[in-house]
Amino acid sequence: MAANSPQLTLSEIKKGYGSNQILKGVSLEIAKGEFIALVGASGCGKSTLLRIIAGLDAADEGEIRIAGRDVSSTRAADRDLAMVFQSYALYPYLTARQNMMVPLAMRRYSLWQRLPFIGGLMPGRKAIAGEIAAKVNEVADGLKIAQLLDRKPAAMSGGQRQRVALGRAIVREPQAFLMDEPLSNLDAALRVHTRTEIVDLHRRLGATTIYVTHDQEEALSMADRVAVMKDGRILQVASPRTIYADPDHIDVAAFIGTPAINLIEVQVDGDGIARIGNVPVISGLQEWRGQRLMIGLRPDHAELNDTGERVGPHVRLPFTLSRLEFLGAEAIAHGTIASGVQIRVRTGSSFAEVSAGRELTLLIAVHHLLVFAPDGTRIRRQFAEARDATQGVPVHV
Amino acid sequence: MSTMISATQDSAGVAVVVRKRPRAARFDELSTTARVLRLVVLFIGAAILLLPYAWMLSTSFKAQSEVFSSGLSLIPQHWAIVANYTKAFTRVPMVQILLNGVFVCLAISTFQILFALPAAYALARLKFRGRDLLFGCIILGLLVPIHAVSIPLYAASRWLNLLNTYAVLIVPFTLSVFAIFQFRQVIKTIPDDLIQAARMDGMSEMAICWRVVLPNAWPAATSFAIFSVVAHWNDVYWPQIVISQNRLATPPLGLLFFRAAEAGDDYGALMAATVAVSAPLVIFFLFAQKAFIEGVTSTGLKG
Repeated sequence: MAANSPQLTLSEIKKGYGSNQILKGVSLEIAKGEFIALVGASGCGKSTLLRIIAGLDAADEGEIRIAGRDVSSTRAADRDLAMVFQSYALYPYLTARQNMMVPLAMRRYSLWQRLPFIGGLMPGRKAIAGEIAAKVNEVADGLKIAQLLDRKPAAMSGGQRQRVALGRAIVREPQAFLMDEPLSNLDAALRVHTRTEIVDLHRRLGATTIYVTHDQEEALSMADRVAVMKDGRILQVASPRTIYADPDHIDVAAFIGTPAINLIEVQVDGDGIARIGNVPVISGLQEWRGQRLMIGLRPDHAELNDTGERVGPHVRLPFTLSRLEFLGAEAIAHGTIASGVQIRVRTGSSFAEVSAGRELTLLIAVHHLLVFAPDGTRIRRQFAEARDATQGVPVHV
Repeated sequence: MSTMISATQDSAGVAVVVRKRPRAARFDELSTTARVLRLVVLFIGAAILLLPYAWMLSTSFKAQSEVFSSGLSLIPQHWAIVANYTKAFTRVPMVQILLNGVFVCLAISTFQILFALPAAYALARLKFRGRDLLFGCIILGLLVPIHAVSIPLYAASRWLNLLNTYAVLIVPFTLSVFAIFQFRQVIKTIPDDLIQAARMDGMSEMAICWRVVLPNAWPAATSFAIFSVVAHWNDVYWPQIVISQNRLATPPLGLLFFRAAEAGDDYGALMAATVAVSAPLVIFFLFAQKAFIEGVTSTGLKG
């Protein structure tokens, strides 16, 4: 970042309403051209943060810099950002073309040129009007909405309004795009389609984008980096791959991924060995002797086997299948392991034949296990081999 | 009973059959007797309401001798249209008076909207200290009738040397608490995102007020303008206090001047003047009716 100074810097942003602290000190650096997703459950403060960046809401504390300029007390109109709203927020009484012209008209015309009636007579207005019209047409062609330009929002479908709203943001070539759940009012099929389009658009324009969503799948599939928020804090900012495979915090692990990660509580015994039921899984946890830790197991990092035969560093656990959720290409097996802990495992669809109630063996790839301390932070280390005390057999690694 | 069946496509592209019952179907279902009865009741109601106007029109056509005849007849035996209307337009400067009415009413409603809209926007959307107190004062202001403050207003106008001017007819009414109240309620219903989108698009608060709020509040503004025009066209109380010259009179005041000039016995000419004064408003209302009804229903206010 040193060589390439960040496009947008947030430092220690705090915001509260009365005694309710919405943002508890958020810091974030966003590089020029980066697509960053702010993701979190509703009420985590992500939309408030976006509004503060936009200048629609004032932070109680903290500093915002855009392209090196401190804009903490600059009004929204002067921050040179564009926003796409969840409700699209198009002007209902203007056509698509007029909607897209507004941001340019407000910025390019002088006060006198904007006046009704006499504005048109002001010198220089005609040249600017030509430029604006050309720009709107160019953007509309890029978004394939040229045929919609003379319609009003009421005569458009949700997807079309969404494009016009994008167009209104794009025409201005702002310092950054802010998007507040722009896809959540679209139906499922259109949402997936538009997702790809926004990513393509970002690639083409190379514009810095901050994208707020509650949909972790959207965040993972679209963003260069994902910032996971909870309770007014950013828990982790990293690439989608890192967020998924190497989460810093149990809340990040729990929020990201479908089906959700399995979280299994384990007791660490006097020798620093964590067991699920009475099967030792991980050793070398001497620091946490006598404490309860959480182990995270992604549904795709375990395998079901009805024979129990398997070569390699895996822990074997007895698994009772309770339900199989068939999804076509794959299936999700729901079942219980020792002491009634519920587990979800992704399996091949060929598994669909297996009937409920079958006793199976769950094979866990131990190097994929995520271990979390009682405060939720990740315990990162290479775990030592755990031995099955009853049989004295090395179990893994 | 007839039904229409039309096939349309919903957003997912699935054909759905929609049954539509024409709106007239319900009326068709009524028996003939019930329909006749209904029309008769409506007709009688309309006749009662229209009778004074019909009588006014009829009298304005009659010669003076016939006005005071003992028989009741709507159709005059001796027509005196030209004589009556000539008097109405010559004894007082009637054209001037009607133009005064148009000018004063337009000026009042324009300024009312010009001042009330930004005030209502600020009260509805901006956060500032004392806003709720201020709004409370405005609600209180709704309770104060013009009659309660007319003496101080008169004293102030006199002190400012404004008696017998257009200004004194217009200025006291340019701030309408009713307009502020009504616009505030409408602005409250404008989606937050729309206002914020306007801020992102680079609009100042004033620009938002005129470019975003006004188009959205247009039905309310129109209905308010109609209320305002009707009220001030018909107002005789305030003009009578501050105007004593024919050439500045508003229409109802002009009527009073006319009656005074005629010593009040030429009813044919007086009714001709009354027709001249009330006709513009009736015509205006007929044209504005649609907007008026839309405005009343959209704001939930009952006129």
